[in-house]
Amino acid sequence: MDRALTLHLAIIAALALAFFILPAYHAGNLARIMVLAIYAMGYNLAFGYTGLLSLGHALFFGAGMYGLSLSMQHLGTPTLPALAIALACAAVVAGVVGALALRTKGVAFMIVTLMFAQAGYLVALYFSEWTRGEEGFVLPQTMRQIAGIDLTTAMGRYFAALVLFAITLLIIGHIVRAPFGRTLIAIRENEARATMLGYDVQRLKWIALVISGTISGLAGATYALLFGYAGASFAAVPYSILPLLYVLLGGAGTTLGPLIGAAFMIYLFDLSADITDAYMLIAGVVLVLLTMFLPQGILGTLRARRFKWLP
Amino acid sequence: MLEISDIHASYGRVKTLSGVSLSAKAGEITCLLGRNGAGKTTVMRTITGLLAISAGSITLEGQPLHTLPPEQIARQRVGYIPQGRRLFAELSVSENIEIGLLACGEGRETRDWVLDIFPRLRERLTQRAETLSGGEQQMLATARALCLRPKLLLLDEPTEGLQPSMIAQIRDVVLRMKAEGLAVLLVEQRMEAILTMADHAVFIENGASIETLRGDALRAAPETLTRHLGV
Repeated sequence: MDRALTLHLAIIAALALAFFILPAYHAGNLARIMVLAIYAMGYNLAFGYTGLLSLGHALFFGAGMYGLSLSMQHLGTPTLPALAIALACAAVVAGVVGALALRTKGVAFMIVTLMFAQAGYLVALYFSEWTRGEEGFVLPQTMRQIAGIDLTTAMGRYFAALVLFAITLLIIGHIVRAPFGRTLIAIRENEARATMLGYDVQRLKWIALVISGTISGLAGATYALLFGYAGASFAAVPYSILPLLYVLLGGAGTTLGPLIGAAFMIYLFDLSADITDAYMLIAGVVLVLLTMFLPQGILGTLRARRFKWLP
Repeated sequence: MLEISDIHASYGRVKTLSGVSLSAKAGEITCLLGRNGAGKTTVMRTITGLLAISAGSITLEGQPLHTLPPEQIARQRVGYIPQGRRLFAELSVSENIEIGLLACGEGRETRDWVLDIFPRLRERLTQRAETLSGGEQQMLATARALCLRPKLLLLDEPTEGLQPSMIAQIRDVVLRMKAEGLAVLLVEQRMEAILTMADHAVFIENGASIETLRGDALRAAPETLTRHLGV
């Protein structure tokens, strides 16, 4: 077994153990961190590995969230089929957005993806009869079960988050080290050169965006399922910026960077809110310092300076 | 093999090529010569599809290239080594080569062939491309282009900025490719390299081809080079 896979399995094992060691409050936080790390891992595939700086991933997160919760709430769909619907919704939305947005590059791509996400947010508000708009709606406790496991309990929620996180991490770990993933890195490094070698760069970028959007949709669906709530605020602009921050902090183009970044951000807000009401100021200063001294993110810097093998 | 007939091209409103014609045959080295800004690299970019032509035609073995997108042109076995190498810096030497192989479905046999040509790369397979020396980077850029098993090899100033021992190695590889039957189109500025390697020389000035000479005619009258290149 190679070092990268060993590290991934060790992290998964440590997270499993953490539930029994940590106080309930932190275990609850960790469940949320793992779900948001899934979101950031999806984002990382597009941004960190392929070089697609999207500002519209909240659309895919929202597509997954509403795909699951609306089908459960209004159609009475059981959890697993609802999860499949959520993934299909996110994949289709990412496919359509990708087909249009990938005609642009750089800043134009950022703007186009942002506009798509904003349109999605407005659609969620417009159909408030179904979505309940900003207010959102709560998924009935009785529906939040999977294979007989109650996802409303702390343990059910934690281990459901862990299983989905582990599957996503192992899939991403495999993708980025497979020829497909190396080709995505080649595209990020030098798109023109990859084209000159005979790669259909547009098609590969589209595939990367669809996978990225689908994983983000999985995170949205998981969030709704585990925390029992779906609302339009999850499809708004801040939720497009969050995964970017997680990835930049943890290390773009590293498999574990999204987890580190999500954990860091959530605890940074949490701990600074304990100290002062002006917690955003503290968080802002810390983020500026981190960006100045660790421009490649936490794991990115570690990889550059010492652990070259880090996936 | 490669036939370019009276091509014209522009960057926006700026006309960069206005009548370039040349041919490059299998087993020969054709040097593309001209002063800085004459349009040599632009010709390379039109062949590879990075810049569309507005008139004229580019064919490879009788099949039009200028109607194809860049990735399809590469799959016609056109290998391009641009000025400045442009490696995938974060990937290892091995991964850079794998990326080249995968693009055209080449496998282990081609990998071994490429590494036999550049044994120094075999010693650095796990090293990141960005940590290689300039000469090694040029070797890797050339190796990656050879992974396509090209019929036509385009080299844009491959020895620029290299030390003499590396220049000799790159020259040997170019001559080996010629011996293996590839058509080589070479942009070069060094007179010594041009005089020793060129089977044909095409002079470009202000975006147009103005003269074509056979290699022996060039060697018989090297002052032609001085006149055209201003060196």
